[in-house]
Amino acid sequence: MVRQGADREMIVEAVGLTKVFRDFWMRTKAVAVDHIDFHIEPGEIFGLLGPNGSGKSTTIKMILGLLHKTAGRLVVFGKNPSDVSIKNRIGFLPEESYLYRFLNARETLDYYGRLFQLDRNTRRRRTEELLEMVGLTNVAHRPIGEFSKGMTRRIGIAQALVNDPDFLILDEPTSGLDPIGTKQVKELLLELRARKKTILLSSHLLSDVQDVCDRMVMLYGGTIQAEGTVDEMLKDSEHTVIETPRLKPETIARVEELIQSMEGVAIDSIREPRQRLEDVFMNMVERARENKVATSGAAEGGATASFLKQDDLGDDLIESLVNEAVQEDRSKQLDQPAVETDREVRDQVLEKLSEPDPVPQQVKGPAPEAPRDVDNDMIEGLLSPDERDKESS
Amino acid sequence: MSAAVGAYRGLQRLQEKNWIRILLSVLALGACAGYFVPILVFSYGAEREQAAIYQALTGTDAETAHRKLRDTGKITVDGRVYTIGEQYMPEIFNEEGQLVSPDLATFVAMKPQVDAIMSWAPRWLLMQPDTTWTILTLSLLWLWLIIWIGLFVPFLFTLVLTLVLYFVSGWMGLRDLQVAIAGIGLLTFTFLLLIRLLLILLAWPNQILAVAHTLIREASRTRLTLLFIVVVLVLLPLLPLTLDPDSHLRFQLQNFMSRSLEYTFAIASIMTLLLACGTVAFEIRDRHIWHVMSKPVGHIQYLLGKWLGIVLLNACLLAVAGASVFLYIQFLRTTSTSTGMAADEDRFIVAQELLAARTETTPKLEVLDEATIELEVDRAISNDPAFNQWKQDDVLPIIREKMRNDFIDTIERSQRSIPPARNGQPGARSFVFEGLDMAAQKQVPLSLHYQFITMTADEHERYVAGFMFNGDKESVLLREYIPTVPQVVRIPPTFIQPDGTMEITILNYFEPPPGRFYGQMFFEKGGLELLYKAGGFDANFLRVMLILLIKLGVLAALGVFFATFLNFPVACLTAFTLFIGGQMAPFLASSLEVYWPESTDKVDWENIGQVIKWGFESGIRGLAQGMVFMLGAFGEYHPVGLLVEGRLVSWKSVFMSFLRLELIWGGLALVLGWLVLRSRQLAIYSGGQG
Repeated sequence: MVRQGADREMIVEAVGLTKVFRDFWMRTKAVAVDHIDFHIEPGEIFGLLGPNGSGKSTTIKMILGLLHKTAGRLVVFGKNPSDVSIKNRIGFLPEESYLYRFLNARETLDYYGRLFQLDRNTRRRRTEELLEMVGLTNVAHRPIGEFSKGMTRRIGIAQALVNDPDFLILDEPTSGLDPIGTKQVKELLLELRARKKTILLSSHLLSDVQDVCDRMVMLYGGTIQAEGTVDEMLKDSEHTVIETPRLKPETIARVEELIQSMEGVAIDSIREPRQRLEDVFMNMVERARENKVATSGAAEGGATASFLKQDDLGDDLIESLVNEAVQEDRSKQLDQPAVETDREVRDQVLEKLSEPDPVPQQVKGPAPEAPRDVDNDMIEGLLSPDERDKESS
Repeated sequence: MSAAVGAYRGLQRLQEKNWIRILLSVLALGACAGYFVPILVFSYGAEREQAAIYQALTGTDAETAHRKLRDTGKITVDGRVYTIGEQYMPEIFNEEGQLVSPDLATFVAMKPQVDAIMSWAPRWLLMQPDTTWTILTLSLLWLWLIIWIGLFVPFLFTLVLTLVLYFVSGWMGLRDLQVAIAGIGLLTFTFLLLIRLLLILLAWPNQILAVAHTLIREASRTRLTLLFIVVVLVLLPLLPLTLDPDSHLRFQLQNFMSRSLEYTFAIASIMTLLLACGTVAFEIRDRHIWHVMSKPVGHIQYLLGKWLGIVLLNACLLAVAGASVFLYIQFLRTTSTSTGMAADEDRFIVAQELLAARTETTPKLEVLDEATIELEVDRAISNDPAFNQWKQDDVLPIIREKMRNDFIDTIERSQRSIPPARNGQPGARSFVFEGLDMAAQKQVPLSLHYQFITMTADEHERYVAGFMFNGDKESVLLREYIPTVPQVVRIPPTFIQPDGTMEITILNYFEPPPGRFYGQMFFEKGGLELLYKAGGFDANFLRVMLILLIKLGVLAALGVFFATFLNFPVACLTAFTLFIGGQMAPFLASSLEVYWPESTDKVDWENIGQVIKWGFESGIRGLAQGMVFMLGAFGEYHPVGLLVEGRLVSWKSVFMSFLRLELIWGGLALVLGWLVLRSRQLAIYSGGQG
């Protein structure tokens, strides 16, 4: 049964969820997940954090029915995870993209669309929009086997969205993506949240989780170490940060005197803020694009696919209007061959889609605040030494 | 180069226009009609004439026609005179002047008509309107598909390339290679066309069809599978080059049919097993299945999709291979390896006995009831000194079964033997053949196939056997035979009794010297059969291809099943073992009849070596029995062998093979695969990854 919240059902509910891997002789090999309790509410982005071997992927695979739980209770959309009917509402991106190497990008999306029993027109429309969104339109005819890791990741994200899922499960979605792709994925997640979609996000990249998640749990050794909303987890009530334009040393001295006199404490540290590397990188790419520097990889991702932004009703309406427009256009051009008419309409659509996005506003004010040391310490303390090295490098 | 590409694209765009498609379709219809309609008109006329001649020779007023034919070599039907050469008379009439082969007479009478008309038309089509209709329909469908699927431009390019190679090889004097090149071009293009058609048909939004669709794409883009397909498409047109041009036409045809269909089946079987094991095992290993199973796809839908994809791929392959074999057979049957009467006789035998669907009847032997058999076995045990100390119940079932089989065999053998002549009177035994109503109704001639063995010192000498029909001494036919060599005697349908039976008494004219007791003549099981035409070759060929497809379907189900729980090499090994076991099951079954472990009373139980040997032999026999039970049905259906012998493969056997092989064994394999996949944790490999 689905646990009823105030007035809504849970997307996922796990109580005492346990997964034990055993060997041939049924001896315990590893306890991957050990009596964890959590729930995911509709419309939220739920983060699953933890180092390698903490049980994140195992939990996700139990939710998908790819692994069987050893003990506890796990329901997804109020049903057993092995129930095929719930899969209609789920989109899944595994930690690596295990897609058919012999299919090209367009065929891949078409195939997964057919598994969701989408009709031909819907499949075709969504395929083109998703390819445009992930920047793979130009390489849509190339087999996936020839794709780079980043391109494979992009097509993986596209396939997870082909059914416009209510519940999107993303395992390391930004792994292998360049910062542009990463930013786009984050924007996509926020956009989906705005459409009341539910997202389960598992990631090693803590900043990704921090930027987009509403709630999260942190796993270590198969058990939950911490959980709560991002604000609850990141809030440092012991310190106050005041941000101002650059101050002279004497002004700082006077401020410190004032603090000393009124609060009886001294300033802990004073430093000049630094830009985030991500912002520097994004600015560089933006300049290069303005200068039309050529690239052979994936193109810049386009706008979020329309079916992911609007209700289907709206989509259908647009579709019908487009069809009407096409038919009207055809009737006006009876002497023109049908194929040409189609091509013109398609060209117009493509032209519109390929219009450059509005140039992002240059950050005028001070650079965004760097994550506070205390929060990162707490999160990274959960990471293994290896992982920490990787993160720092 | 860019101009060529531009022209190609321009043509592609042009062929997408509906009015071009309609125009091309009309042209295709016109071309087919222009070529085939005159052939149809002629062949219907020829068929009517043929039927009238046959009717005149077998109908109520046949005696007059026989007499005239025997005396003048001519027969008049509907005012038209047909002539039959003198040299054919000994084959058409027996020593007593009875017409024994009305079909040969008809064939020879019609020959000048066929030879004289329409030299541009294939001779084999001129006498077969049904086949002409089939080929007309297939040709038209083929062309329309090319046009409407959008493959007309590639077709033109393939056609031009093939024609260039065809004429170049012709210019170089390589006639055989010409046919092979045309065949390779045609087969390859047809296969691609069918695959494209299949992909269009499977584009329906359904999980099973989607999985099947992707499997076909996988197969057509995977080097290993492609290799097998290419081998079939190239090998078949090259096979005719391996035939011995000096041998009889019937042997050439039999060789070609046997080789082409057996090779195709063998290659398709290997491809099926590799593909079935590979597609599932690799998807599990490479985790592609995570993507699929996280979508609304049930385990059984996944397996059915895989199975369906493989079966449809095989259907395409068999359709192309079958069509090419069929057409080449039709071409080959009109060629001549000899001249004059020998050539006509060769072609006649091909038409009547090889490219036909004949059903067989074996003589009815006396069958003892179970109680009598058991009584005889009990008596044998009581009389055998080896069992003196044993009670009946102490005799092992395996020993009892052997004794029972030996007894039945002895009884049957005694009924299949004909005693030698005594005092100048031939030895005789009568055999009754039943169920010949259809042959009597259709008035089709029968052929008695016999293979005698004699118990004489020299088995290479010629002996004389006689055949008497329904006890009528006037009907006795004498034939020389060489022991162990299969031979045939033609029998007119008039010998069939009103109740659909025919009694044939076999006479043994060999008389041993006084006081000697050899000279018995006998035949093995199946060594005496009465065959008659019960259907056409076309439908028989289709049924054979269907059974081959059914067998491939079982292999696909087995491969898919094993791959659900075994990795690729082990799954392949297991599936191949079963495949070979299945193919060998009939041989194994016949071997089991003579393979028995040492009788327990002869085993020295204190001798560990003998005990181990006895245990090993018993184990082998048990294992072999198990394999025969499990896989017997697979090997039992050997339709190519029947086709090559011109025997009928009935719709009933197609249905039964579907029921026994596809539904029971294939279905069982898929259900087991579903249970395994359902209980299996597909993401078990990720245990260490977080």
